[in-house]
Amino acid sequence: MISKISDLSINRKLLLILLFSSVVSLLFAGVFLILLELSEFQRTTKDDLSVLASVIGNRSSAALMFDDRNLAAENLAVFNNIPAVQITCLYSEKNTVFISLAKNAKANHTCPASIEDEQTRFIGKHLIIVKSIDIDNEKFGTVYIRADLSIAYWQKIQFIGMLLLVLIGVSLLTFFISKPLLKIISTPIKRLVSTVKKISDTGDFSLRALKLSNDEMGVLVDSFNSLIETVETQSQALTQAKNRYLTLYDDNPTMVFNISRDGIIFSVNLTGAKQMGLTVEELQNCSIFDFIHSDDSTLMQDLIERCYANPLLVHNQEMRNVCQNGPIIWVRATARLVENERSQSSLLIVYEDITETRFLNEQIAYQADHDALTGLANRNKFDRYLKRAIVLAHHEGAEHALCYLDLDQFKIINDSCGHLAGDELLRQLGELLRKHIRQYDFVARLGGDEFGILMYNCSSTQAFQACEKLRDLIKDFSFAWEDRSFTIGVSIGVSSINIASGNAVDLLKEADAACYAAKEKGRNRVHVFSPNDEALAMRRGEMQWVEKIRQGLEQHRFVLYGQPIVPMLDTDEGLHFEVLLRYRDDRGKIIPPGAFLPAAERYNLASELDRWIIATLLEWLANHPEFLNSLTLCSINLSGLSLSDETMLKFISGQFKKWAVPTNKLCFEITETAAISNLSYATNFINQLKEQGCLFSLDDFGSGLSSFAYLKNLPVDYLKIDGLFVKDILDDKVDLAMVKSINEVGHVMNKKTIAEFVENEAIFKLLKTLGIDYAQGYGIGKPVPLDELKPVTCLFGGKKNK
Amino acid sequence: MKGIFLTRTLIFTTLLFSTCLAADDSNLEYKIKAGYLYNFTKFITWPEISGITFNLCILGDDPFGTVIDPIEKKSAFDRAIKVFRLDEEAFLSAQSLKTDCHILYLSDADNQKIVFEKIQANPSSAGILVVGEGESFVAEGGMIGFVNRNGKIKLQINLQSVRQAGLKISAKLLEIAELIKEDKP
Repeated sequence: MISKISDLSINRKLLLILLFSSVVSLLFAGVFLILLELSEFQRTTKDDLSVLASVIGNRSSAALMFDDRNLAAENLAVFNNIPAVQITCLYSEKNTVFISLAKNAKANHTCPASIEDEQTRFIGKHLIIVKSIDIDNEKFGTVYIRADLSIAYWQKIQFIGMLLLVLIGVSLLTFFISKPLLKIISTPIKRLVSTVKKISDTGDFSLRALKLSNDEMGVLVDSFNSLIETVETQSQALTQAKNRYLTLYDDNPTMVFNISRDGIIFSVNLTGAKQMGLTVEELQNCSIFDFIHSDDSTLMQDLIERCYANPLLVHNQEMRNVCQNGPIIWVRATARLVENERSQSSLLIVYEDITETRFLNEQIAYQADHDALTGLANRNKFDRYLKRAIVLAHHEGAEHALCYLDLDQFKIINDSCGHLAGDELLRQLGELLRKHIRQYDFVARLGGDEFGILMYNCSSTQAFQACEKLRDLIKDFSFAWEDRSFTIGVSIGVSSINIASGNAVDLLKEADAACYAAKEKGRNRVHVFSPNDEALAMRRGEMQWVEKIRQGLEQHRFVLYGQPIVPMLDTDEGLHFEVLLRYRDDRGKIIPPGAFLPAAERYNLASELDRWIIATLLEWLANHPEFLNSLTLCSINLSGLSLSDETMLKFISGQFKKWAVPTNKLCFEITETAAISNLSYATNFINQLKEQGCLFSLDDFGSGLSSFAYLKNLPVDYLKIDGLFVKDILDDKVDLAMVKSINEVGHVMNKKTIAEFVENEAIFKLLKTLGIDYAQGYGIGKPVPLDELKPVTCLFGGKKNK
Repeated sequence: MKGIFLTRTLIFTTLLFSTCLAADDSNLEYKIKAGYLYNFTKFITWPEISGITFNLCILGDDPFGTVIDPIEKKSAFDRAIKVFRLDEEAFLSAQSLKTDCHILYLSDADNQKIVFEKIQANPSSAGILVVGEGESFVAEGGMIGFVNRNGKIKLQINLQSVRQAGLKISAKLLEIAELIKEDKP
């Protein structure tokens, strides 16, 4: 019961309390009222009737004593007026009925025969009154009254009932009036409860309870709200933190797994699942081993064991992972043991996708070792193999052979048919070589048109024979390109690798020198290196220069010289000179370019030197404005390699911008051979720089192929007649004719002519008569450092401008 | 005490039977009258009672005989009741009416007028209740007279005489009695 009540709503409880108290008070009031009323009623009735009986008795005493029944009857008739009285009896002194009066004859009421035992009392609904009649303490008779109170009782009860009804009515009225008042208490509680429920149902902590009053409920609501506020703040902070960590976890670019020792996946982040090609749910409870390449599962097993063996450390392992949808990725697994809150250990594994890195590494490794064009090994790998072969030779006393192959006339194919043809030829030759060497021999492309072969366990004689065969093979090889067919030769240098061999560099130099010797001997032949070979000495010197040039550029050992060029006619054109390069050796000795330029050309350093010259000259000019003012033209030599160097034009333009030297005072000299061997490049090069205001001269004209047809296509401004013709012009009629015709053709083509090697006045005069425009040479002026360069004022003992 | 109780019982037994018995039964009639005489003491107040007894005097012939005797065992006004029988002649001849009677019962109707005059003439006669019987008793000057009505003994009272005698009579007694005025010439 009590528990049923305690489950009722507050409002109902309050109602119940109200109802209960009303009912109880009504009940008690009713019972009390009834008891009180009845006892009061009985008492008063008894008293009233007793008094009445006493009066009647008294009044009837004379009638009784003098036997007057009529008077007694009259007296008793008073009771007719009292409805409750049923019967009245008057007893004589002898206790016999003197007279009686019954109100209702039908009711058959009779007086009791004996009055002795009767006394005043209530019998049920009846009241008996017995009153003796005394005079002077002498009893003369008794009055007996019997009254029926049922009607009076009923009336009383009706009255009380009415009263109770009124009370109930009032209670009900009070109840209904106070019912809305209950809401003052119940409504704030209800609202608070509904708010609490809403918050707990929706989890929306932004809701607030409404404060309706300032009583305890108000305090409760305020406290609740502030509590919820705290909860909300903390909840938000928690949510944010959770989201942050979730993002950190799920959006982490690496795959994160939590696995058991058996490899069962407890959890995985989103990235991991995506990469695996499954959902997070599908992955859970799978084994991580299901996704590891079968060859690598031992690696994973080992990684797990390492983690358990050394729980404090972080362990790494690279392995292959097979994703659900097929692809195999390389991952770097980083793992360490972690303990959860129940002290159970599991493994935290982070997979980093290193497929691309790995692929790139492999590619780089491959590229580092291989030649992209032919697919053969490159110089790098060749060097390694060579070193290994040397080690083998040193340790085992075996003899191997190093062969250095250089194609003859490759340049012709490259120039006449283009690079594509050259590349194709190299590819086919590479394939040819690979096919025709012994299985365990090693072939590599060393660069350009050079190949290297390592022949293991091979004497120099055997190597020579093998190389002869290769040479014949290449000679017989016919290369077809666009309806044309080419044959090609090869020069092969052989160097023996034996117990006495030096290092790899030495061996390569030997083989290179042998190859050079083979070329020198007339190409398409095999030469075996021998240490005493005189023919190779020069070649070795040249190779020494390669290193010197490199160091020279770094250590500023190069210096610029200038050699004046003068007009034949007596016009003052200002300063005109050709820039020349000199090398200053350790002892300060100036070395002319003839010593190092061939090496620079051969080892691809010429372009480097050209850049140095241009940069240094322009800087010098910019720093000497007075000199620049007096300057008319300054010619700079460009090697053939620079012409085909695609970055050269940009470099030159950059330098122009940097130093802001007037470009019309600059003239580039290119050799006829260089221009012709790469005519389209050369033409483009010249045109581009001419657009910027530069001038061009064609150097050494006459010494090479000397085709006038080419000259037509080259938009140069000057023709420099090769000094070899000029030197002997006085004695050699052919030379004279050559110079003359060159000069004439040049003039026809609207080009100025410059004669080199003008060593004396006789030559000068002859050239002047021939109509050559400019002269240069020791006779005019020797090359001097730029600082010392001055305009030529005096020629051959006389004033120039006379 | 026991004797008194028995006597009273006897008296009331006679009273009870009086209604049933024939009126001409003279013994019963006087028994009732004797009871009535006693009952008067309950309704009449005497002005002053000297002496230690309440005296009931029967003048002339005694009609009661022994039936009156039980009254002597009763008391009135805290005094014992004493019955005296007076000689009529001596009473009438006496110069001074010097009696201690409180109730004077007059049985002889012949001399009753003389007795009344004598009593009225004597100033010291105050305080005497004169009781007699017969229709004319009260009318001629008696105070309370017994009369027979339909076989029942009824009372006649001369209120004036009673008052002249200085007695106070209860209204209750008057209620049951016939009030008679004195025939005065």
